[in-house]
Amino acid sequence: MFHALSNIDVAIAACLILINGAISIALKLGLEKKLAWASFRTIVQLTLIGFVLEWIFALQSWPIILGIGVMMTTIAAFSAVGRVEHQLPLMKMNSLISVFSSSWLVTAITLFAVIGYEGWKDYPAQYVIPFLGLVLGNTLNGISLGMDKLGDQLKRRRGEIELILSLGGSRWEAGQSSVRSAIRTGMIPILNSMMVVGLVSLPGVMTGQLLAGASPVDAVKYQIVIMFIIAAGTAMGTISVVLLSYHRVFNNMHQFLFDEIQSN
Amino acid sequence: MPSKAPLLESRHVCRRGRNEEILLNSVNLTVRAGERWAISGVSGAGKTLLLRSLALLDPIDGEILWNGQTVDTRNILDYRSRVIYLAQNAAMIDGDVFDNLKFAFSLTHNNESKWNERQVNKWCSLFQKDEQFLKRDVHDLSGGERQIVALIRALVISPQILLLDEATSALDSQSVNIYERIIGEWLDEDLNNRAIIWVTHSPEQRQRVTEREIRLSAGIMQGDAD
Repeated sequence: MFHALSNIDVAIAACLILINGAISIALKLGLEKKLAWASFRTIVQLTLIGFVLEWIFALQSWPIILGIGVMMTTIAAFSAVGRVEHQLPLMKMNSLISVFSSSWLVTAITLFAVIGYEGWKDYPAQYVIPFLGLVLGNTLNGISLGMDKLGDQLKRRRGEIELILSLGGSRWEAGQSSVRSAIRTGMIPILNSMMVVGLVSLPGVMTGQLLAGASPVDAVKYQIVIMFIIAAGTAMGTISVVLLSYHRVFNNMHQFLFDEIQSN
Repeated sequence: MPSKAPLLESRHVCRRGRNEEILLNSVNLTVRAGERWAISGVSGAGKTLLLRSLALLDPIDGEILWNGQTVDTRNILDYRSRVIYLAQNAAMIDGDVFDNLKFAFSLTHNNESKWNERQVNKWCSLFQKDEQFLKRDVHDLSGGERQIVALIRALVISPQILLLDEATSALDSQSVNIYERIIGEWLDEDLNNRAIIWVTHSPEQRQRVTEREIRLSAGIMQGDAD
């Protein structure tokens, strides 16, 4: 039932992007070049990853799977801090620790406890890499939003934070509203998508399984698992990065190290 | 009469900036009970930094002693509820004036302190602020009113030293008088345990409210202040 696409099929779909180009030119949006570059990157990046995955799936070698996993995680951790507006101390390190610990733990729980090793031991690459990728993509968002919000709150609330400290408040009493607000912000996208999943759009994994011929009920079960592991990964990653960063800007003398926060 | 034992001592207190440049250089200061200190110096001399360093709000080199004991991680919260820094731009907690006056009691460290409503009402009425004032949203307060709230908010938890950083800069002259009177009375109530250190740009105010002076120039203390 699975119908593989030919190169011509892909080319026809690529023509659809020309509609965007036409709109951009007609409305003078000035997006043509960006659009062309983005389309080109989509094709190149996905084609490359297609070849890489073919190779990995053929080998099914654990060292290679883990190596790819480490690479994906590192890229995710660094890109999470890439566009953050306020630089907190040791931000890359905090992001790396948080992305690694949350995504690997959640992926491992899913593969070993939920699905069970027996179910995938012959095809580890097909399971490890997509699951890790799903968790990473979402954790990255949570971490990025959480850190951005934390930096913003700490800058904005400086007066209030120092007031609390100057009246004998602890660093936690001074920083907790910023920490809470940052964690909440990091969790918003995943909560939103859990609220409307299935109503507004069918998520990618489920769509993929339906296209591949799985029964809708089976596909739904997978999707539920995916939503929960993404939510767990995002929560853990966001909480971890926000708390680590909090400890970098408040020391154990309950001092607020405001000068350590740098704005881009 | 033998001089009183020191309440607060700073020993070789240095404060560095972002690029490790020295902003305060080896400040040695001994504050005894009942003393009224002024810190003077041109803008940028380090007056605010010195007050903040005395309150241990920023990391410093050197040490601060409280009743002869070094202030460290174990007693810092206690120290800060006794030595309170009042910033020029008084920050407010969201809510109304009453929320702010009571705020310090919500902090774990102060939850055994006693709220003295009579005293609060007395201070408010000295500033001619009635009960309506307590219900006002802090976002609607003027800079001067914020400075009044900040003073009372600090006094309610019975501190021992107030570090006043241009704390009356936004007040009219009548309110400044009341402010100074409240501080004076507060100090006289317990001369054996209280002191003030006041940063002010007004020589007249310095003369009215302080007896001793620390002169700062480019982060260095001029003369001897023991």
